[in-house]
Amino acid sequence: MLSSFFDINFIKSLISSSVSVIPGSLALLFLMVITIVVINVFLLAIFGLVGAAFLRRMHIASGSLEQQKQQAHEKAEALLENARKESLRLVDGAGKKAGEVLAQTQVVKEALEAQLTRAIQEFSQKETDRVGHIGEELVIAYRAMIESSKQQYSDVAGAVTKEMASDAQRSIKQFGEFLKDQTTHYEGTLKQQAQEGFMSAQKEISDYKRESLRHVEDAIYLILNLVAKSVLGKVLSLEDQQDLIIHALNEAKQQGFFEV
Amino acid sequence: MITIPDICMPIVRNVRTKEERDMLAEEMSELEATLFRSGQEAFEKVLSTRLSERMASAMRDILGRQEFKNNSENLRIFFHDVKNVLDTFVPLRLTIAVKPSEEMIDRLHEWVQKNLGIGVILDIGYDGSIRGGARIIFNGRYREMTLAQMITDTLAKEKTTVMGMIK
Repeated sequence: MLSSFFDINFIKSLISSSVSVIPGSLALLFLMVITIVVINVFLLAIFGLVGAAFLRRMHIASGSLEQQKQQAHEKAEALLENARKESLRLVDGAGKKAGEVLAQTQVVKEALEAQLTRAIQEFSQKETDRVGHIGEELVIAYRAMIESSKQQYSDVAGAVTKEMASDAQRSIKQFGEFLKDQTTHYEGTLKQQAQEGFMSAQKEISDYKRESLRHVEDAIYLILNLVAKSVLGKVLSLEDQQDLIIHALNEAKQQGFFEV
Repeated sequence: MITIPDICMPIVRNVRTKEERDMLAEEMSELEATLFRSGQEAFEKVLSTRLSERMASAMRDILGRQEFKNNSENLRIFFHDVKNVLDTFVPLRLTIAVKPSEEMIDRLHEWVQKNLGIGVILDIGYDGSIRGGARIIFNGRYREMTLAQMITDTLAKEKTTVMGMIK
């Protein structure tokens, strides 16, 4: 079909058939359009061929890449496996080495401990001997010191006893003098207090006497007042009462009591 | 000094005490009511039974006057005036040491009318402890003029002399 389409004779026949059908300029225009369409179809066909070739090449390249990727993966797995085996081997070796070192260390430690115990025992024995020797020396020195202290203490005690006796005599003498002074002073104070007490009592007696007299006077005055009122009130006749009221009114009037 | 209508004078000048004043005011009201409600006969009966002889006599004298005969309006004015005058009376309060006799009230009333005027009436009270004289209250003022007070004052003044006499 395509080959028949590109066949120039076919196009010519087509054009000529068209020209015979379409007259003048219209036929020219139609010819141009047909030409453009043909060119475009041609170009499209070329692009299609090129694209198909490119896609086929891409497909081939893609398959190769997948294969390479698979190979690389397998290599990596083999490497990892080797590495794991190697590391296990190394760890195993290290553990064995460590066990050996530990065993050796235990032996060394026990030996060192034994040496240290021996050294301490020797040092202890030596120090015990030395201290025992020093202790004997100290006992001797201590006894000498006690003897010396006894003598010194005896001397000091004698001196102190003497001084104390002297102080006591002096204190007793001072106390006697103080007692004498105090007794004299106390006697004076007592005399003064007695004198003051006597005077105070005299004043109190005097006040009491005066106060009692005042009470008596007040009582007499009160009785007199009551008696006077009672007697005068009773002895007054109605006439006298009347006169007294009139007298009171007159006096009040004289005093201006009723003035407004 | 209050002004008292002459027509009322014979009635009100006989009022001596506060009690008499109150009683007279009641009697005036009763007479007035009886006169206008029950007539002359009933009025005469109240006059002779309720009022004292002296007051009834004074009332008859007044009502016998020409201006009151058959003139109820003048009578009404008269009763009204009397009550008004009684309302204006001022009491003189006297507290005394005895129960007053009528004679004593008369004499005190005379003194009051003579010295203070007709508008003052007695208001007498009793207190034996004052012994004599009077405690006086008038127009809101107070004065102790009693025998008890006089004795107390005298003894206080002469205390030294009295005590000297006793010793």
